[in-house]
Amino acid sequence: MTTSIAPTLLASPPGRRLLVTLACATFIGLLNSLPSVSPTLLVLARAWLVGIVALGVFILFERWPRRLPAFLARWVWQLLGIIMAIPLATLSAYWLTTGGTFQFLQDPLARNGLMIMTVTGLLFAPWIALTAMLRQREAFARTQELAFALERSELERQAVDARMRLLQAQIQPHFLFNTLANVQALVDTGSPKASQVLATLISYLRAAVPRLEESFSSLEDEVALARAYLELMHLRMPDRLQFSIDIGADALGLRCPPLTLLTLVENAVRHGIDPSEEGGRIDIGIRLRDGHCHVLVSDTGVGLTRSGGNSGTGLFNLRERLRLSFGSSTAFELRDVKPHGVTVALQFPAQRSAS
Amino acid sequence: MNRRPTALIADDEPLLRETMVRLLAQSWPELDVVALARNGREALAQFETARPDVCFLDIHMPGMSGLDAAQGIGERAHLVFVTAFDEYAVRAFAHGALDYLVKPVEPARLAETTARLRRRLQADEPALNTDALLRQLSSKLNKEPAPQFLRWIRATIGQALHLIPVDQIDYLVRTSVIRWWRGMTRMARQLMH
Repeated sequence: MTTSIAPTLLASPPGRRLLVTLACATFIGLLNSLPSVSPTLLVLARAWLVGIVALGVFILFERWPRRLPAFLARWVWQLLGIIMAIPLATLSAYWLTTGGTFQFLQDPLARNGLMIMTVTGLLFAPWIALTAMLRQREAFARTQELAFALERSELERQAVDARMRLLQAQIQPHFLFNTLANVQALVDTGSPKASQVLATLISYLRAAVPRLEESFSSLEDEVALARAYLELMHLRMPDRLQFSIDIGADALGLRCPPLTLLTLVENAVRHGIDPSEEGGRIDIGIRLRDGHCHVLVSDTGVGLTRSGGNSGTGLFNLRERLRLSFGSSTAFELRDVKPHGVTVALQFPAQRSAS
Repeated sequence: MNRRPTALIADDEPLLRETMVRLLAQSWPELDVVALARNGREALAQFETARPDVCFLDIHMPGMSGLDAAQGIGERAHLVFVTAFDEYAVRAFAHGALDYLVKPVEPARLAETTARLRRRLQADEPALNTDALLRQLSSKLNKEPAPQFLRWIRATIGQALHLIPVDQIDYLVRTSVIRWWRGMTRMARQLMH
């Protein structure tokens, strides 16, 4: 029934409706005054009264009752209302304009006038009402179309935004510039490590960039990306970051939402190792067990308490992504470890990647 | 000033520390780098013993940041901040009167900075009073994040601290379902009347 309620929200302003009604009533009144013996103004007044009552019924039935039975369309209800209202309104108009008595019914001329007005009213009013409803429906369709177009463009904008954010997250200008500053230092001093570091950076970028299009990548790619990232970070903080990656051979080909491991590792570096003066270790363990893939990333950084829990958003988004990819059969746990550090345990169904 | 000017360099990345030493040697040969620090705490301690004329401080360092160290050093040395590419500190610096360099440091930009420092040291100008600027800057950088939805609940279970996602807590899920149901029934009642 929403379609029969919603157009009322777009009803034309009451002033305009009244003007249109009065104009139509004037026309019908003038038509009626041609054969009538009554003064033209009196006939016009009756026609106006009838018109206003019909408009009142039209507006009332537009929103009352709120819900109509399924077999009765709103427009039929409104038409019925007007058809019922016109004879009654004409009768009332005569009653009012002849001094509040029904004496006029004895007068054949007045009876005739009443008949003519009722018939012309019944002839014209439903068409006027139908036209009004049609125009209203058109306006509604137009507005809805505009709203849909707006919503679509908004959704498109959001999608582009999300892709841009993902791209930024993958390329990380901050990370890139800092790494390049280090590479430049190596090149300037003629260090033999420069070429090797550049190769790592290239493999990081190669692994990070194409992920934009994919909804899944393999754990093998994920591990390669995380390893490249950790190696580059190790170059930047050689005395503060140690790491190990341990992945079962049977887990290499499993499907995994892109950037899963990188998000965990980055989080460990940014919120665990980086804020700590003495640094720490990051250990990654990936195992296939009971049809599930278990990913464990632990660090010996400053821990949840000292990092102030800033890690919320990235990990929360990751958890949402996992749930979107695998449904509810994923597990995600974040806990503090002693003496300091954080362990993130992740579990999702093992699915072989297609390639 | 008759003696050779001295400098402290603080950066947590060793390669970038060395780069700074090398670049400074090219652009300001008479400058002596007398202290190297890996974080803000070391920078402050080294400053107290070496008392250099100029301090090059990386903003982002573990533990105590470059900004915190600068507040400890105050007017006792000329300060130059070194900041990463997209830290919005860059914008903040650009508005203030603070000297800053963006990593990777470009030799031309460093030459401008060292020329200015040399002028100031030769004229025996006092270091800028940067206290108010620094406080403003660090409050801007440590700004509280915008309010967000509650996503985790911290819980101490035994010895370990856990972060529990709110939608895994039955109580919270149930109350929100009840609230939703109450809202719906209230709306239905209003429709009836």
